[in-house]
Amino acid sequence: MTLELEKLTGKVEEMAQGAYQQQQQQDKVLEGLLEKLYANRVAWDKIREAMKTAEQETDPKWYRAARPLDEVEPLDVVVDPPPPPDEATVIAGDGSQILPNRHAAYLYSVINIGLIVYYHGRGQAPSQETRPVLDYPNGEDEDTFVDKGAIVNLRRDLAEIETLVDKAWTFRREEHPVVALLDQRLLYWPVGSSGEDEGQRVLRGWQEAMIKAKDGRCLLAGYIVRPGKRSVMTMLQSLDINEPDFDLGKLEERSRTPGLTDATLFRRLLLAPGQRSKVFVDVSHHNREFRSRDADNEVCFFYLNPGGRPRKIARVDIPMWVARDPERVKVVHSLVYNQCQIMGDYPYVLSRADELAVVGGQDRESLEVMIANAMEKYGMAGTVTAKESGKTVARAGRTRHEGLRRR
Amino acid sequence: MVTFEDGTLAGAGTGRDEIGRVLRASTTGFAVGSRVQQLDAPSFGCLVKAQPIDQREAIYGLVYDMHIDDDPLVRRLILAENPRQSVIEDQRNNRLIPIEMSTLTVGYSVNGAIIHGLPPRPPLNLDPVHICTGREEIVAFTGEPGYLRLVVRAAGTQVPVDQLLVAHIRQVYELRGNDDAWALSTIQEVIDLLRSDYELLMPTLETLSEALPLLPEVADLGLGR
Repeated sequence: MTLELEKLTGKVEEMAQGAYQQQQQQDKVLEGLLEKLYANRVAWDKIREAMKTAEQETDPKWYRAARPLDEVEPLDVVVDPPPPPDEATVIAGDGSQILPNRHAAYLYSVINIGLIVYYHGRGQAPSQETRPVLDYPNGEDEDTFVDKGAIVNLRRDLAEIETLVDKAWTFRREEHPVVALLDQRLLYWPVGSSGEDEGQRVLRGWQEAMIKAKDGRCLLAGYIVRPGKRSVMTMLQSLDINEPDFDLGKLEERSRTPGLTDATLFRRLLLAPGQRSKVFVDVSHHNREFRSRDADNEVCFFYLNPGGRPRKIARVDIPMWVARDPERVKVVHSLVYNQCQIMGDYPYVLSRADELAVVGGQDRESLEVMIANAMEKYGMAGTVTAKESGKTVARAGRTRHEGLRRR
Repeated sequence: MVTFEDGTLAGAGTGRDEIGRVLRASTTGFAVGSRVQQLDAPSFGCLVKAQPIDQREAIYGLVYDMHIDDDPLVRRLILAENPRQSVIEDQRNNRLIPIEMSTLTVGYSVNGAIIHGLPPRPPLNLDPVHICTGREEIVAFTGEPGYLRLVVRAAGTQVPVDQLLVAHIRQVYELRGNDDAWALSTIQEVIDLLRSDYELLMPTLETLSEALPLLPEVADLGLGR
């Protein structure tokens, strides 16, 4: 059977109607927040006081807001893209994985990291490489190995930043700026780990990589498409904290208004491609943990209009040591936008790093043949389960019958 | 058996002239995958050979189509602003998209002996493919015109037979050192092979006379011209 679309017609209509109504409500809230943003554009004392009270009176685990990095640029500042440096090195890394499959002939997992080095301003082809790592239950219980699927994801995240920073480290003596770009948030927090220890190990490794990037003078940045953060909105809502009957609960992450994010707010503000918002500091217990490890690791961010239609908003995460130097922010801003211009709305190097990292179905098949050949050499033939072989047959070349067509 | 001056047998590749590797093959033709850097040498109508690394036959073919595929990333780059030089270099040098060349099989060689006919078996995937530009090998393969039968029998398929014949004859004429006698006898063979296909013969002869202006006899060879 395939998906019978006609059975979903009513539900799809309902979905569209619901989205429209939600949009109407959101627009009203958004107008209020924008007014608050303009009215308090330089109300630094009020912002500081309100946030202090909010942090004291809410559950620190659930209060996630944004603090203005400085008291120079107003809250509603719109910064046009500066010209990029004449020369720079932009490095991007991305990762993919094959999770262990209980039904496959052999148990293994793979992490593959793709790296690309783009020589901005030099007109030459970028260099690229991949770093694959194979893991297998070397004497380990097979069930335990299969259950480690979530850990493979954590290790991939760690491998992404470590590999990226290791590569950037080799350029540390370059005269011109070096920017290292990740396709995810910089304020990393391990989730879905079945082992707490592994999560903590990955977190420590992540923070150490950030320190190494700083030591190598590499401007590390995380690029987030369609960001879900609503920290700036929470900051704006916090300004009313001294109003009578103020509901503290609405400042906490768990009671967020569905669909409304900072990106929806900044879509109204950053109208032209390349424009960025003010730089904010993330306020959360995660970032406090990052700061306690190294004050320079505290994660800051700005929103960016990367270009393209309809108007999109991306978030760029940067560590504190980059954020507090306007020249460094300028370099990151200009080069990230410069990369976005190549494809229209997304950094070219991140597309290429993803392309290098991704393990396609054919690659996977080839690897499995390679493993099978090696195993058979030692008389270790494996078999797939009936479930796996049934799925393979059913999915092979399945197409919807569309009647006879003339060729 | 043909042994060239450098001691190699007909069908043996030198490695210097590799233009790609076999992507897929059948008895009547094979597709070659090339990198952009390998695109300088081959051209439409040129003689190439799939050269197995083991003792199998080398298969000769004429390039009749070159195909450059796109993909979603290339399409995005086309829609964006003028692509930068570094991006063009990246697409051409780093990305793993082969240029595909289709060839029509016109012969093979076994132990150095050249045979104009379909080979007993096609080349295999990833067999290296070389371009034949050495005068000796060209002279050896094109000495007899029998291989042209395999070109003419492709009429009616996707092979542009008239253009392929013209491009091939012009190239070989030059590689043989402007060999007038060879050109005239080869064109005579084309006339004989296409005598019953006037619609294909006439444009072929017209294009040939334009392509080889130093050979005024070409026009005279045409039916009644």
